[in-house]
Amino acid sequence: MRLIAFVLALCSASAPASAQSWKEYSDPDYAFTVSFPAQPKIKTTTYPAADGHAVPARVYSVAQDSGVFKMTVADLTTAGLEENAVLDQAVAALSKDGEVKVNIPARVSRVFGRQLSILGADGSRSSVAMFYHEGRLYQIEGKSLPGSNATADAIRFQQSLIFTDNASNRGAGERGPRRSGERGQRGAARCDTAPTSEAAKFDCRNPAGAPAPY
Amino acid sequence: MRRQWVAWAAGTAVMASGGAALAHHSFAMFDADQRTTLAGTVKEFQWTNPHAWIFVMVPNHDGQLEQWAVEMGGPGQIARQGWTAKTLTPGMDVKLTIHPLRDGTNGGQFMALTLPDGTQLGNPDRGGARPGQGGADGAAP
Repeated sequence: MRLIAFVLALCSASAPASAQSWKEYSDPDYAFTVSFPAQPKIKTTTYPAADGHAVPARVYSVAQDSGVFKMTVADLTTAGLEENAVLDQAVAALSKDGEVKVNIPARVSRVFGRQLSILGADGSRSSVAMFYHEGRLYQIEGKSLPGSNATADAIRFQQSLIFTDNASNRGAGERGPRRSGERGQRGAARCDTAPTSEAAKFDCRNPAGAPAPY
Repeated sequence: MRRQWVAWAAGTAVMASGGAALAHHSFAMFDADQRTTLAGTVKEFQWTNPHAWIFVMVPNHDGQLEQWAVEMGGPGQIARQGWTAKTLTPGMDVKLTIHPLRDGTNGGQFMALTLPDGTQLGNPDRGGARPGQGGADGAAP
């Protein structure tokens, strides 16, 4: 009994104090946790896959006067699509009414994807990250609405994603972003000696497998 | 034997509960070759996983206050450097050095902070450190 009480006390001591305003939301079915500025609404909908047909999707969202915070999980397990096709299509859909300012590799634990900053034609600013993991597209978007100053909240939201399944979307010996057409091939992503694209430069600056400073 | 099994299970549970705090993100969206200094007032210090956050109100060129979000390490990590959930409180006037977001919006990666009493936390002279090279060093009071 004393041992159990001790363990419970340890768990309480190690649990982080909750932020005053942001609340952590977990979905064990889709193995993720995200922090929202308020309780999210959940909607079941469809998502247009890269091959043109619609797949089931779930959207978790908070809409405020200054920003919209949205997490989308689209089930692409039956679509048989390649990761780059999924992510490229997602980027195209998000940026059709705006301009992509930043498009670089992203990593959350051992799940690799992309992160973007998009300037909307209406003056909105979106901070987005997307990952193709376990046959699903996970897309998290924090949008600062036109005329507001919620870009701080947008990046705070986008950075809160945690995958709780302790899994990876890379095979053993494979690291980093996949090149177009690459299907889970072994070998680490190379750092070009003379990078010709911003994405390649960022690969060199921060190899996806390198530990974050924190 | 049973006591040993319970002790093992308890230790595993404690370690597993810290798993979320060990999650890491790539930091490529911050420009590691740039430094920006902010002088403002703490709005909120979020002691949260996977990263602690400092929200600070900073006057812009027109004197209007804008909210900035500064990302730190996870609580488990920065606690080892002396930070606590109460190191920063709303209303504190602080100076921050950050690696700014590449897109120019109001956010950055923590490098250093100066408290109202002049105590400096972190290291503003990491200078061009790449992600993975150095972190939020410096002890909190």
